[in-house]
Amino acid sequence: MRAAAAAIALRSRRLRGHPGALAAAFAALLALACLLAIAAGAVAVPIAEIPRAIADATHPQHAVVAQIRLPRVLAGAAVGAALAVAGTLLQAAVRNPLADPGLLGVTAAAGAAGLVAIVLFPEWPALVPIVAFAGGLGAALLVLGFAYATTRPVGPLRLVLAGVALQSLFFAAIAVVTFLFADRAPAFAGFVVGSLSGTSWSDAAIVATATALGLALALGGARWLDLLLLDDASASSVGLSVRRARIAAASIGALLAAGAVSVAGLLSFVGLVVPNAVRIAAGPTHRALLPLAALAGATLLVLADSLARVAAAPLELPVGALLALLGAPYFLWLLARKVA
Amino acid sequence: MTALLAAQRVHLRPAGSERDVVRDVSLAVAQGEIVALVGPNGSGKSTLLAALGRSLRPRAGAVELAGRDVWQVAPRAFAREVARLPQDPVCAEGVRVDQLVESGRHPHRRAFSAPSPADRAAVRDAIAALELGDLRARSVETLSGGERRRAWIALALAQETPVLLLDEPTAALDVRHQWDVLARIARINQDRDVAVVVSLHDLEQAAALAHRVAVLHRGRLYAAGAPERVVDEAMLRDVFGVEARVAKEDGRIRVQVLRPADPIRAL
Repeated sequence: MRAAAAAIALRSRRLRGHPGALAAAFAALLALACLLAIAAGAVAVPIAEIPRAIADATHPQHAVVAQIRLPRVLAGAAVGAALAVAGTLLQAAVRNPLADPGLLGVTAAAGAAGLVAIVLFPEWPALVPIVAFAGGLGAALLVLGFAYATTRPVGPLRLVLAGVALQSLFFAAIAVVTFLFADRAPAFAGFVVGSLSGTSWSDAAIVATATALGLALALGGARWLDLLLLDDASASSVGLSVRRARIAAASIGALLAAGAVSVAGLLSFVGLVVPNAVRIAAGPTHRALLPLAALAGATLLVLADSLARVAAAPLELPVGALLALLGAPYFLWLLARKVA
Repeated sequence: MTALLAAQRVHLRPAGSERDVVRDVSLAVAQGEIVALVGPNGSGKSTLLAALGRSLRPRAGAVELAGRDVWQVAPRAFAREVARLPQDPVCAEGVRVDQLVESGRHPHRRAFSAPSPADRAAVRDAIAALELGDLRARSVETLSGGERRRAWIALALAQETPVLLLDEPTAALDVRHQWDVLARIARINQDRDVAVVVSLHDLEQAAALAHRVAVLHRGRLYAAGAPERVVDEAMLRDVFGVEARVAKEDGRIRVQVLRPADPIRAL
């Protein structure tokens, strides 16, 4: 295990500076993960059969593959990519590698807003992602506004602390809503822990669109994100409007996180773990980091969701719980490695 | 000589401060001139440099770039004219030296386009001027203190600005690397005719490097002028609170500090 980790670390160090090769390797891994995810489940589909099962409407497994697994895999990949990219953006916005969409209160706010929409307008399910998005963006702006609405020097730490405070506020709101509307608790459970169970094509379309848009915006702004790797005085000395760049990065991060939350609920750790792991292999500059984090996040979530489906079959674990179980120890290992 | 960048009777209060740290100070720098800013800790050197670098708005007075209020100039346009190296610059872990230097090209680059030949040439020249060729692929945090300082100066140099503001570029370096950095600043000034405002703690270094020395004392300009006129025993007593002997040897100003001027605080 140790030797394998060392070999991977060595290889990734050699691959550093070759983002093209890394991207190809990551894309191949994602493709493999998607095939596995489509193949595995209560009804096993041989990998060789998958193309036919998708294309041929008379194939016995066509319904399972085309209507259930394919949208779920697509949504899983989009959610994973969105969370990883959102984490990367928010880490740049607060210049702290420990930031993630959850820590800034963005996912909690999107989740609370989504829950309120479920309760108030049960007949309008399409409203949930829109309201969740507005909630996430609102939280991001609130955190940024609070951190800047003072004459004292603005440190990224203020942003994080403001986010932590807001996060507990919105978790309280979630708890209150869940308690008051306990009759709808089953609908909430998956949302609060994070799950891709019962994902439809329209869910997949929403999150894939938000993810593609957010990723395109983030990649377009890669050069500005790189300047946020410098301290404020140095970044503004080369002509960056630091405040505007921070707000833009956090807003795009909120777009991505809100899109992911609206479909998959409150998934933790993807946004924190993936960018930090990819940074080791690809370095901190965003033109390489963003696409690689997107691919790695997508792969992680597709694999984790497959595992959640088959690990305790016929029961299905919520993927959010599984991710936290895997993510927390891995992150502690990353920290220990850094200290050493 | 016409002033390129000038503070005119500025009153400055840094964010979070309760009082004006700099009061009624005027200071100008002309093309090709080196002005050294000296003064005790807390005398307002960094604050004045921040205002000259358009990152602190004066409460009264103005900072002008070629006669125009710097706050009328867009940030990127200003960054093509003035580069400022702050006192303790930091960048994220894993940023390579060439990537750091390349960020100095930001004000020259158009949005959504690759670096131009001019951008690449400027980065190459800056890396060559500070002898960072062998270190260009190294992460900044793995460099020694002196190398790191050179990398940051290279960033400012890659901006190719007519004015360079340097806030204590020799702080926390050993004596040899202090003189190394000063020699490179003098070289940049000569080769590129760049105006430099640099804050320094060492008066001998300030006198050796600068055409003019400006002394800040409790937020006011105590004196400004040619080094041999400004760096003298009276100034050291009034501003720094020490009894000292100032002599000229081989054309260089030597400062020998004898004891604190205030006998109660003597060792």
